[in-house]
Amino acid sequence: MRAALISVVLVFSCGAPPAPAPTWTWDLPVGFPTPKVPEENPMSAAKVALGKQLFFDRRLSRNEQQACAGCHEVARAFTDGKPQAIGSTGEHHRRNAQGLANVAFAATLTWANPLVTTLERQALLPLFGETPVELGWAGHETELLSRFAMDADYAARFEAAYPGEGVTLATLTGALASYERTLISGGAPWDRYTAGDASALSADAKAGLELFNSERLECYHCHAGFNFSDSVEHVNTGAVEKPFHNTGLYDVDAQGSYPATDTGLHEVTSRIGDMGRFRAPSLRNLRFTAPYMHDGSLATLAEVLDAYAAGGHARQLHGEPSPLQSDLVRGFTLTTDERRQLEAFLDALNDEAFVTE
Amino acid sequence: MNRVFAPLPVLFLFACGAPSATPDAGEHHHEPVTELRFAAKVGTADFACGGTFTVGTPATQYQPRDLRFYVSELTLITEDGASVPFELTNDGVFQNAGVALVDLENATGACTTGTPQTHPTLTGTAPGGHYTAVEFTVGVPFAQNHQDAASAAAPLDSTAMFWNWLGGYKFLRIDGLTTGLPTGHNLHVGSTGCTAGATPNSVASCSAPNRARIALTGFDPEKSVITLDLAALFAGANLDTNLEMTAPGCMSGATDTDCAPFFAHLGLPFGATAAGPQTVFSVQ
Repeated sequence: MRAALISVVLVFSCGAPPAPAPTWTWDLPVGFPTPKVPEENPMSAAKVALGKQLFFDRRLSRNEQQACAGCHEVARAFTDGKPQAIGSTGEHHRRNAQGLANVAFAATLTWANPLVTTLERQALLPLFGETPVELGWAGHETELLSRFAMDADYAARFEAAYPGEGVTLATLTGALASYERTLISGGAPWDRYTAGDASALSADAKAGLELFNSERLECYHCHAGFNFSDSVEHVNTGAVEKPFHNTGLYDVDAQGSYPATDTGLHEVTSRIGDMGRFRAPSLRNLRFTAPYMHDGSLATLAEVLDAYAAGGHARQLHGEPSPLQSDLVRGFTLTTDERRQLEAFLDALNDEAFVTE
Repeated sequence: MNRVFAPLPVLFLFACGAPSATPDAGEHHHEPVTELRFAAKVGTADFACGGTFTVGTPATQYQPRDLRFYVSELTLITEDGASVPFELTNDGVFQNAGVALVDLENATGACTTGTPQTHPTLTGTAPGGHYTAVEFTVGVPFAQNHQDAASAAAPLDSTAMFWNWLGGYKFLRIDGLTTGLPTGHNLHVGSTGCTAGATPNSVASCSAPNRARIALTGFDPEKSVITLDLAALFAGANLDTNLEMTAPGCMSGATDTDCAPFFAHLGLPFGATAAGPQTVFSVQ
């Protein structure tokens, strides 16, 4: 409202053309809140179009071998099907490429980092990360920016998206972030069910929903709400929570330690209690996003369910739970019918349209 | 810049007519200080990209890949013990807002992430006085360390010094190739143990700031070169091996014991080991 009033005043006071009105309108599924967007980078169609072009352009890697989409493929709900991702120079990442469905709502980004909370900031990691090299630009920012500034088509697109600002790290990452915020997945049978179509879920899936929300299985605590993740932020969020959980995937020393390769939140905060804590990923589109877990160590959804049924993968292997794992990961027994029902429910979270656009 | 100011010590001798050994200390008066010179050596040899140096224990052959570090809070100490700030000039490239990037690599040899420009000599001002010591911090002050790197002004725009996964900068980056680690031994020192603040991407505090405060006596602003010695930094460290499943070299990981000797030599605490005196920097 304030912006609109100012434009009107401008028109009357100096005859200048009115400032462009905010043109962005979210097209959100039923039950989805409005994503929070940084004030310094409001959404626009021009930014989204530029960001999309950059996201799929291999020239965004220094050696022109890999685009963002190289590890975030549309057909796999923006994952890559590999246990761990491989960067533009062939270096193996230690982590599984995360899906980007509804990433606009993630309270924190990457698998376990409370310090990175906007997509603009997150984009710096693949661009300039060196351990491992992803897009390979560390120390070569001038070459990166000039590559796109010298391209007439891109220069025009940057000008349209960020008039007068040119090709900068801020505009480049801002455009990527704007595109990523549009990756909304809310077209699964589950969404049709919540919108009022009772027939959208099978009887098995409905029974599976009851199991999912039961205190026996406890799934819903971490995989909560419209995005099936408790790490959520949107325009109506008050105090932002940044939850991370140890699911008992590893316990290499009977004291709860994860392999030193990746200790999760602990490596950022250095707090022992943060050992093995990771952000709960959304459960949407699981059919397309195997393998699973932060390191891609569980190949199938069946393996994941087996691990949780056993009270954590570490307990499955060693017989004892990790002293650091969430108290909600305590194991359960499912009958054959219940297992089928739970899988039917999870299958109802798959959004075919999202992976075919 | 060194060449321009080389005559100054000579002028001083003529102007005052007394070398620094004069008994009347009150008569000592240096000209205003406009430069602080840095250099890197490996023992007695000059550091250079493209060179190969013998360092560490056991000895390994070390080929440099990078050598840069941020300095801030530069202070000159008078013979009376007074602290006088050396105010950095804002040059728009290597110095701004009280932070300077000392860049001792020149993008040759294996220094492929580097820049052809180097920056061994800091420019700035401190009033005339009789200075006998210099102090500085290896690091970026907290207030600047956790800003948005994508829009930060030089010298905090150097993507090779970005440390985005920890929401800050590498304060010191000394990378090389060794006999045992031919794909790279990296020493990256920066703040760890950081907790998030309330606003987006912000950091509230870091339990291991890892900013080394260096104090060097025997300093003569007209002659001294603040010298980083890689041989001293790597003394007693095995650069041919890497603790399994940790960063190649030391990236300040709290549990990466490869870091212990480097942190000790820089005068930084590491884990349960308290900070001791630094042994890496000297004036020459």
